[in-house]
Amino acid sequence: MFIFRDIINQKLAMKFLLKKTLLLGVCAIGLSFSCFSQADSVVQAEIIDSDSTLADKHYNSGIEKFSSKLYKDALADFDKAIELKPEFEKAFYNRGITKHELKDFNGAIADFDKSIELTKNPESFFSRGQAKYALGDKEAALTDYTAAIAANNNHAKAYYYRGGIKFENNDYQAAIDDYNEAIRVKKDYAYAYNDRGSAKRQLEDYQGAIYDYQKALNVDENLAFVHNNLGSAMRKKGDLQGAIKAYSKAIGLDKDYFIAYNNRGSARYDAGDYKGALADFDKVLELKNDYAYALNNRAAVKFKMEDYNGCVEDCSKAIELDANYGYAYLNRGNAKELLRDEKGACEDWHKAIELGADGAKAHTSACL
Amino acid sequence: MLKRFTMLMLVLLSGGLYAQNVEFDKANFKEDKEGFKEAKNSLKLGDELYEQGPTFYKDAIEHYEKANTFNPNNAELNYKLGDCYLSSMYKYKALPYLEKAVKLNPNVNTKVHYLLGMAYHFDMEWDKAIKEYSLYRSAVQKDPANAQNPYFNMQAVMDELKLRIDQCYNGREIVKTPIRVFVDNLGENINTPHNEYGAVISADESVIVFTSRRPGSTGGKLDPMINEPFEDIYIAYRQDDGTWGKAQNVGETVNTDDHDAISGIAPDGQRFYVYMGRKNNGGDLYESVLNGDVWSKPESLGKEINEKDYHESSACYSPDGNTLYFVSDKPGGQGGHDIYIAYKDEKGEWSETKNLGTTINTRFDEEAVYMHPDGKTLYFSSKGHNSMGGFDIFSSVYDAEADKWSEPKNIGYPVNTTEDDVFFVISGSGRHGYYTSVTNDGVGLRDLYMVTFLGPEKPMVLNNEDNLLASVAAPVKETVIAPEVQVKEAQLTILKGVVSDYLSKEVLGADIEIVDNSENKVIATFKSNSSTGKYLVSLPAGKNYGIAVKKEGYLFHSENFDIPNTAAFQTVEKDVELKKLSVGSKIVLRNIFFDLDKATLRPESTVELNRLIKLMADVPTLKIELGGHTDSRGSDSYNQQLSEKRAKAVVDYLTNAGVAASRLKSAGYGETQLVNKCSNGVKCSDEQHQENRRTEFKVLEL
Repeated sequence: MFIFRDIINQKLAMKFLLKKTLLLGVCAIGLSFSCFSQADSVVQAEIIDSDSTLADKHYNSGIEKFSSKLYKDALADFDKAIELKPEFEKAFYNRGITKHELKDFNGAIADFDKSIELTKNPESFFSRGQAKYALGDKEAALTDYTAAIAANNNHAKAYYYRGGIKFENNDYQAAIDDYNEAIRVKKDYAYAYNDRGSAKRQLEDYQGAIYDYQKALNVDENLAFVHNNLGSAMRKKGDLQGAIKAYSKAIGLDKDYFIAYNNRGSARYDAGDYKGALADFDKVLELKNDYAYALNNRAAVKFKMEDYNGCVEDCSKAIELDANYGYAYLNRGNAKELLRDEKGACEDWHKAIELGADGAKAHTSACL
Repeated sequence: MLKRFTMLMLVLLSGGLYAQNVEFDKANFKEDKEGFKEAKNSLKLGDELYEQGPTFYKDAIEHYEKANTFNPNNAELNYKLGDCYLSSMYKYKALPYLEKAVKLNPNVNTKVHYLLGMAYHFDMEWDKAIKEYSLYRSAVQKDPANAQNPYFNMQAVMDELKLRIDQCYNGREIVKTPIRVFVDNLGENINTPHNEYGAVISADESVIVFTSRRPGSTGGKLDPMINEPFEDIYIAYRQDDGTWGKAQNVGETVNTDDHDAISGIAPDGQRFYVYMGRKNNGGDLYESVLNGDVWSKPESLGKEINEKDYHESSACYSPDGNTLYFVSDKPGGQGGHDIYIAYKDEKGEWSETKNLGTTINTRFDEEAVYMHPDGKTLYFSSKGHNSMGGFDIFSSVYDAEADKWSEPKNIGYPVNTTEDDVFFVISGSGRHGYYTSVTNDGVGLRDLYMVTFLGPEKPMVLNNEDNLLASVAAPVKETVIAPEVQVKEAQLTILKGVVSDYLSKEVLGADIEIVDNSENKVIATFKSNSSTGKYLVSLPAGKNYGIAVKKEGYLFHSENFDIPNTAAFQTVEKDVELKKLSVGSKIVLRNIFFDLDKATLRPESTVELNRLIKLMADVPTLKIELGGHTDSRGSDSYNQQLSEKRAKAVVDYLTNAGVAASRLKSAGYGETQLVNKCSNGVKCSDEQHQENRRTEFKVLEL
């Protein structure tokens, strides 16, 4: 972000452009559905139109085009700026960001390499980490985030994203350590609170998770996914009513949030409200008719409602969508047993075992 | 206006009907004198039967119902109808009559609360039953007439009420966690519109034997006590399609013109215990054996079991046939009928009878004992323990090491009910139980049913995901660990098959000897059926078994089964073809064991070696070769040497035992005569290699 602060002689206020450009750095690694809500990326700066150098003109034109999502045109401008001024570090950085947007991650990395060569800019380390992550090289991304932190130990995002990689590597405690640092630097870092909560949840510290999700919501109560995660932590903890309430909030904020419907259905199932659960799973399938989990879960509700044929039907649909869905086989076997189709039940349970469905072995004790 | 008045009157009348007791008095039925006369006559006929006691209550019902149709509002008649139904097989019909009797006249009879308690108890209305029993208890305690009556046993009445109230509390808990079962009527090949009960089955569920009071019983007479045919024993066999064949009377060698009831059957279905009634010393136990296709005349189990003048009512087999569990009301027990155990002595007689003790027996009755083919799980019926009413079925597991029975466990609702639940047997696999029940949709009165145990509910597994990471769009799947399903598997192996002649394929009745190899002891001997060649042995888990199938004139056949305690239930079908003793015939000796990579005979081989010694003594002209064989693992030369040494070790054992060396030859074949594909370099399981490691016995001269 300092790149733009440095260009103080530019007259044109380009607040919006800056916001988008910087956000690119934050969100590039994935099309997060809620990324845009991360207000902390907004940087106030001014870009002043100047005729001091042609390179600067192209540079500024590039930024304008980027803001209009004309990435290829922006790229041409940054190319020219660099051509005219081969040591233009900020142009390398912005071109890297633009290439990232164009999904030319290797090209982006080459530009960040150059930027780093010129100034050891922590942002370039960070952005290179993002590009490497986008290429699936998590280890290299982690190294770059670490380098960004070494260059700036208050780099909240570098901590945050490094924590994310550690989370994905199932190293939840180390992830929490990074999220702690991100929050130290940025007290209202809602995402960091959410992700720290998730790491705690994975460590089965549901109380800690609930605390963090609530902190995230204190910062921004409109984050539907945080309400959803809060619901799941509550469900894990056994607070089914609390969970149902949280899922309902998530749904209130995002009417199409099928994951939250699916989760609320499960919470209602656990609470014995099979009618309510059925309605939720029906809604999921209305929103996303190929969501195999909802078919499987609706099958479970039908089983409880003693609609064993309906259960078999839904499981079969789930299996059609995902032939390796072990639990759908396990559940279908349970229904077939009660439909007195012992042979079919045993075949399904054996298939579930083959597909690694946990606990399926015990079901087969009565099979011949 | 008149119409409205009439309507009002009708409403008032109908509202008052319940509260108004209408006596059978002709003044009340002036408008229907003829009807009254008939009803009064029915009432009289009913009363005559009612006064003869509970055995005749069921016969009184028909007459009482007629009278009640004419006058449904007589408190006493409603009371009597309720009482009669409670003594019949239609207990569920009692409650409305008793409730009405009390409404018509709360003081209809001092026993009405007792009967109401029973009716609610039967209906599983636990709290109402407890309330009614308690009301009756207070009434009995407060009634001065009881105190003055020298024949009234206050303690006995209080004990019975306490038992019933306790049963209600038990029931209230037990029905909260019903067991998951399918219950199937055994169908018209087994059940008739008459009474069938007391089914027993072979361990593999291929044979069912039961008691029936259907017409056509042996002798063709009716039991004067209840005007029904005497009990006879029937048998049916499982057909290839899994259904039961038509049940047949087991025949006149077993069934008499008196009561003959089945009690227990051996796991192989080749012998059973019979209960014989009235004429026999208060009720005694007998045994009949299947010779070919004829059941032998039952023989008494002897004086040790059948005590003079006492009632021995039930018995069952242990899997090895060496232990007998039976029920007797002889003195010295815990009270009523108790379960006893007896052991077979060296002469094959039952001895060492002892009461199973207070863990199993209560001061109330225990009945209908059944030992599972696993040899350790005992099923029995009891009115004590935590019964929910009448007899309930319980199970208890014997821990041989601690010499203790586990606390009896109520096998649960809906198999156990508030009625008498007796005669329960369970298949070797533990998957099916067979029992007697009275239901509305049966073929007849008491019918036989099969219950399929589904075990605890198999939990459904739901799948969920969350957006755990704010910056990553892909949701994270929740880790699911399917809840554990409690598995209760029977711990035994059923070995069954047909014994036949190797060449002619003719079925053979042969002796089957079961050896506990670690104890070097023959623990049981069975016979294959001479008509069918079929045999079945139940091998409880936890032993290394040697099995020898023997018949005179044939080389014996040997099998080995190592069944650890943790082994799952399995049925092994093994047809055995015995080879006639002739030059060139050979057999594998499966129960000769060596130390690993050595030619030292292990002690577990003793019984098999002794069997060989006996054969050599029985057939003095016999000359044999003992051949050692190894599997393909290890070098060929090493295996050759090892096999030679091992064959020689067997020969040495026999010569040391006195068999002339000139009759014995040893030969080592190394890995040259493998019985399967497992030669050098072929990947095989341990079991497949085991097949090749063997000692063979070949007849050289005869």
